[in-house]
Amino acid sequence: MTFKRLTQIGMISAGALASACGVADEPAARSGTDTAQALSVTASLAASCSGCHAAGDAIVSLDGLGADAFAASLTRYRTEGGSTVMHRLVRGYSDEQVQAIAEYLAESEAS
Amino acid sequence: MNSAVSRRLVLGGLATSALISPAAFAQTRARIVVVGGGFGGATGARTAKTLMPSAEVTLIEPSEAYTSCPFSNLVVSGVRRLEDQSFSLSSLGSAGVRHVRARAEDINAQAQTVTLDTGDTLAYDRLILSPGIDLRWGALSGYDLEAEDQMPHAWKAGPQTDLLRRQLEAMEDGGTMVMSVPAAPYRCPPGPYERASLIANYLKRQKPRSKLIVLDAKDDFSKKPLFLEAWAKHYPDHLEWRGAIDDGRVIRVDAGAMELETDFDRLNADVANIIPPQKAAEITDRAGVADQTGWCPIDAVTFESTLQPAIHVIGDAAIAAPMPKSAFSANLQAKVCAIQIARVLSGLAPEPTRLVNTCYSYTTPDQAISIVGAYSNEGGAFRSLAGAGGVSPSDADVSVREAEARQAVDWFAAITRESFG
Repeated sequence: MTFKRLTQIGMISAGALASACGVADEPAARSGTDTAQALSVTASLAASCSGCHAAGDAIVSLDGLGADAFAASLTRYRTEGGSTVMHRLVRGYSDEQVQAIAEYLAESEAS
Repeated sequence: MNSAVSRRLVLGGLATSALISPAAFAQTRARIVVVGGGFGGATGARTAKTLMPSAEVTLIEPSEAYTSCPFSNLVVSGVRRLEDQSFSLSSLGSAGVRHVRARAEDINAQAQTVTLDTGDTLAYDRLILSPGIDLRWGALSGYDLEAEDQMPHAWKAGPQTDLLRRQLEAMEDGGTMVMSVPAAPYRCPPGPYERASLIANYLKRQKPRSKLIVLDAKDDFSKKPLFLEAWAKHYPDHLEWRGAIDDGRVIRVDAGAMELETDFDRLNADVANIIPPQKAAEITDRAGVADQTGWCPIDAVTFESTLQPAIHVIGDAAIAAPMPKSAFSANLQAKVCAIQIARVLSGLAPEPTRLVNTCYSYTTPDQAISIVGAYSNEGGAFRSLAGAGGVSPSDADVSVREAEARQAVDWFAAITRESFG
């Protein structure tokens, strides 16, 4: 993964989040400063994950998960029945937010 | 800075706590002072330094190590060692945080300075207060500082945890233990009921003729149906809970006589655990960030005090309801607060987000239940997200309870590693 790649991910995520949160979106063209802003929006959402997920067995590590598998797994918690902590938590996030978090964490754990 | 270096910095930051690019905020040389070395303060100092490598980040905490309240009820019930609750703050030094071993005595919000018990004064551009709670001595008649030796609270982990454990061990089989639980808000809403569960478990195993009576100032509490279910199943002969409606509210204690008084009753205890009313730690009064409730009102997006500028309050001391006063909340609030401070110092507007809380409680040493919540902080106030959150299922198979006990272990390992390194 390159810094540029990470930047693109942040920008995609921020766009998705801005609409998901009902926050007024910004112009598509972004400067470096906007990139930092975009990354931080996703970062603050993803900050919840590391409070539980490290190198455990009962709580899975997030290392090595691709973005698609990540998003599919999170979405499954919402669509399938179940009552684990994640089943209860993931209902607080939109599809766009789930996708943004998945891409962000997958990229940060990759390479 | 070339791209390879950027990448390493970015990945370094992300790999540890999934944060934003440190390189983006490398410029600020702001002085950031953090008070309190618990789950909130240690995480806040570490995250601030990761996000703003050129900033001068100072942690003010007299202790070299932090003693964790989460999992300390296992120590009280004798299935965990107190030493395993201790987490050194030394790794903060390698992370570039300056740890000042002193107590913050006073704060001048206008001059933006913190005065230490050493007499030194530190100037700050941004102050993060994560000082935790103080006990309101005397708020429960008869429960003053001297009484804690006879009737431990064990609501700050350390010597008090050990004292309660030793008193419980020394109690004869057939003895009565009484616990007093305060009205909300207080640190760790389900904590008293986890403690009651684990103490009843100890009595059942080791002192089967003994009993725990829990006197509660309220009628409802976190995970109540699940706790009542567990108590009926596991401890019908060893645990009795009395809510406010059943004269459960303790109005006076006499530590010398080992007596607790309610509106209509007096109980003698062989061991008494008094969890007293609480407030934000004293330093928040000195800073002028606590209101008449004793807790600290904040803007939910930035955690900045609504009473004093440039002072951010996180963790148990803050008014963040419906987010509870928990280790998970403190750790997450610290990360989000540091991100928002980095934004502000970089000339960016604060950005609302979503936060969560996760809390496991043991009902036996190998079974647990959980409560979670998801929150929005848009508009500067926390709001529970409808449809999300909730507790473990009722009447679940024992395998569900055992799975959550194993998850609790992993949670504790993850959050202590992220907070203390």
